[in-house]
Amino acid sequence: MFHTLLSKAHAQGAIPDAQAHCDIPCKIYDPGPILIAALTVVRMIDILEDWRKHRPEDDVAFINTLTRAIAQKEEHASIVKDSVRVIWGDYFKAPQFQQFPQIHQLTHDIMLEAGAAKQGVNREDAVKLVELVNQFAEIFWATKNVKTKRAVCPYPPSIEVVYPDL
Amino acid sequence: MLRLARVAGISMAPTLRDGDFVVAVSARWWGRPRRGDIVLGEHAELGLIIKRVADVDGQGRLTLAGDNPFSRESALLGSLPASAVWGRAVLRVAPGAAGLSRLHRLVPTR
Repeated sequence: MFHTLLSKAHAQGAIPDAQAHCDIPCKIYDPGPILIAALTVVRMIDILEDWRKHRPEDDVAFINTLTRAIAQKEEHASIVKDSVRVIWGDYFKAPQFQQFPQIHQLTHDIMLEAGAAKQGVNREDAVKLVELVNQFAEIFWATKNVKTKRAVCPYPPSIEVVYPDL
Repeated sequence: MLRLARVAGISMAPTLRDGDFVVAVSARWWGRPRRGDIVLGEHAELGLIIKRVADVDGQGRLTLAGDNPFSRESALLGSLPASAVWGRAVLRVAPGAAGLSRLHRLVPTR
């Protein structure tokens, strides 16, 4: 009864909201998906180059697949930027910053390199992006005292990636 | 002296649920909030907030926390000066049969 009455008053703007905010601290952070996104950028550039060499006669189908590869390259470079920002902004706190002060510069370098990979089709930019994310992953796992190893990913583009040695 | 507010969010569950109303009593009237009280306060970024007092330091600044682990982490919420605390929530108005109930001071164990 009281609640119904007050709900009407609230609907008319007479009673303010008091925020009982919720920002679920799920604590699940892992650079693995970021590396996959960075590898995808390299792979899309490889696919674009490959198609350029073997340009089929069917122009519409060619443009369609070309556009899809470009869209994926764009999207995965954005995933790299967003996900690195989340780990840097939400996971890293004062103790981790003290331990690895270079993380700020590295995060910024990743932003610039991912931007370059988005804008162009230079494979070297994309490979450099993977390497910067590798360094980011090594630091991330080091903050958790987890050892890492480097191995060539067993699928295209077959380049070196950092894996946690759990 | 008295103020009404509607709870928005789940960080005070199960004590207060999203959509409950609370009646708060002014700190000027009731006295300074103490550890374990549920308070209404003005947060610089979030506006009017409702939280439980987890700690009061020597300068009278209050550290606030929700009643469950999904609450915004206290470190992110920051502390509030006593002047930003409007007062103490003393009565809950819930829908249906739950109706009216008193809110008690509960010293957090976390």
